[in-house]
Amino acid sequence: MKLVANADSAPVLTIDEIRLREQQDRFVQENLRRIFLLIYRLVGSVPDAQDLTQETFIKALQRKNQLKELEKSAHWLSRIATNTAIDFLRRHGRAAMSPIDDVAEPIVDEGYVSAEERVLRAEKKTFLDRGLATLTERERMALLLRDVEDLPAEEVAARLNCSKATVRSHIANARTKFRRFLERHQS
Amino acid sequence: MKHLDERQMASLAGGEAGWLSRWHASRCAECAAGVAKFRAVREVTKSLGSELPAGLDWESLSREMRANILVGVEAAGCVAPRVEDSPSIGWRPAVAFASVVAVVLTGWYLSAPKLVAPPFASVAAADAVVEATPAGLEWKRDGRGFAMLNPRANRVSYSVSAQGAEARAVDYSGQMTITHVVLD
Amino acid sequence: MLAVAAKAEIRVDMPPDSPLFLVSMGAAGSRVSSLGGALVVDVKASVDFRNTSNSRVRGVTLLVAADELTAGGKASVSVPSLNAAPGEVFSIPIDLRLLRPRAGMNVPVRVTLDGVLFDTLAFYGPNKLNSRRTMTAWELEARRDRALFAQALREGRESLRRELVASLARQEAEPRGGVQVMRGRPLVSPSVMQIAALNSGGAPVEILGGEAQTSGNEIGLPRIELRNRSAKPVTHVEVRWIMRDKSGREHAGGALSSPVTLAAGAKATVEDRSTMRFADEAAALTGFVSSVQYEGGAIWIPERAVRYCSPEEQRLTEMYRRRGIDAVIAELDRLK
Repeated sequence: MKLVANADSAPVLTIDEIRLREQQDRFVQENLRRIFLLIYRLVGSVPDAQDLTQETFIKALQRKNQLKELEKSAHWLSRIATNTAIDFLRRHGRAAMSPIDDVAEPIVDEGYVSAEERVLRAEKKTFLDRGLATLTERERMALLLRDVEDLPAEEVAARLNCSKATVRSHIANARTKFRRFLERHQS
Repeated sequence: MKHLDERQMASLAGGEAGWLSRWHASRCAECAAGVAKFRAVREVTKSLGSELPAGLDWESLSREMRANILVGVEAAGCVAPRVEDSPSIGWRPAVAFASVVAVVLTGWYLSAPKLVAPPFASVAAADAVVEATPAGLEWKRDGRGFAMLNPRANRVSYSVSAQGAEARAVDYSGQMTITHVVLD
Repeated sequence: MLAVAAKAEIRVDMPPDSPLFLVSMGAAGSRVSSLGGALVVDVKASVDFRNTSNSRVRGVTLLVAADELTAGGKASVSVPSLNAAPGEVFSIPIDLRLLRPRAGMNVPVRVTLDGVLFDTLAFYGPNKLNSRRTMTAWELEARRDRALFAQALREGRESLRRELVASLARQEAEPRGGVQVMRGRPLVSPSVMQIAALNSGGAPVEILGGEAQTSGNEIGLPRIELRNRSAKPVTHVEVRWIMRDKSGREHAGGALSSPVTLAAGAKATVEDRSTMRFADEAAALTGFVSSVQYEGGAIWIPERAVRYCSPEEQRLTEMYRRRGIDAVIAELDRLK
């Protein structure tokens, strides 16, 4: 077993331990944005999505510390993410979508962004997120899992703990409402 | 010929509809056009998988999340065995004192990657130090001591004075918890 | 790989006349991990209390000590802005980590009640950590800030929203951390810096002036002269510091909390034997009085200061961030 010395007086790491940490960090980098956006669209809040994303990766990495399993676990990771988000929504009720809808833009100097403006921008919903807000919580979850995560309808039903017929109904309703929203707001 | 309704066309666009709807759409230009519109909506929906919330500083947020994940993974001890949770214990108070003794834990000495988390703030006197770290407020002397861990919260604010350090956090239920570690 | 056992045992002791009845204590999510090769034992617990008094409980402070491990180190867990009605049960989290307990060590962790604050501002408890003063100040700040937000709401939802967003922006703009405080450590080749005072009109105690030593990014040994403008004797003063660095950014620099003997109209000097080290070079230090305690125990706090965010303001703005304005409105109504 070859030992690699650290720069400080901390215990040495083995080559295997260093490799493992690199693989874990690569796994996080490759999946972070996708998982964050999935959770964000489910719970509707950036701070909550950040917390739940971190929790998802910590849970995932605690369970899988072998190289081969990490490479195959992107799909299983999104299952942990949706379960974590769904548990959160069940515990805390429907998470409020961002409270700031249309707020008049303050006049600011070019190149300068006030702290208040930064907070306002971070809370402002994109056009598509406003469309999602027209759906019920179940419709939103079904739509995101089917059309964004591209899961088969049977898998979506399993994740949402409902029948296939019910989940198909949620998906159809969601697409219909979303289409009406897009047609109403597109000029 | 009875046309497909909106929900049937929406289902067909994702392949969830039955054979009868599929058969009808293959023979009806009007319904086929409706299904095509729903397919276009699906393409728009897919973009939610990559579109960030407006104004979000993704670089800075992703850096913060990666750092927090690293801290969380190492603190949880990926390679350490779990300890069985103790059951909840409680009983009515005795006459003189009400006491609850709970949570007898056993720990095992292991080697594992070092947790690297510089303190946000600290206060020191002689050989003792109180530090505010990502995990919580630590009191240490000669490397030994204890820490009050931060509750599950997205943001924790810290302050230090000559008397010690304080951390404030609001948990998911909206309850504020303020921990204070005293430096004697 | 060595295997050495250590144990942690949490004990909650309540006095027999306590207005809080200890219902139960549960432990969940306990973990063992390693820090640089040494044992770390994490305990995540929560203690359930029932309010057996006739008044609403507004705040509780518990004292936590692990004397056999730390020989003097102690901590507190406080929960302000409770609104526990008589008979109601509430939980307080106690999340601990033991650092490097010795092999074979059985570490008792003792949790005792330091104080309970009621909505009448009456207080119960041994008060070893001066939790009466701190919890009373928090409760007064909470009432002040909720009244301000309620006033904004009376002007309309948009007005309340603006207040909440402005508060969040101020909190976002605060530099995060980087402050170290050391006691009994002299500065290297210090020069003298005058302390600026930010006195509010209604403050019973004003800062007349002061000075501190400064060297690079360190400010130490601040001394300030105070005057009691009120007609009542004052027994305790808290002064908060704001440090401005060379690039103009302001940092919250902690607080000086000191007992004083200040008769009506009298002056006194208070000093802090500690040194503050910041991430950036210090340019100026300002102090403002954040709380005053009179003889007899009554507390004064200032009007809401833009440079200090009370626990309640932080709690309500965080609630807004997570749950939206309706949640904040409901909370203001609940605590009316």
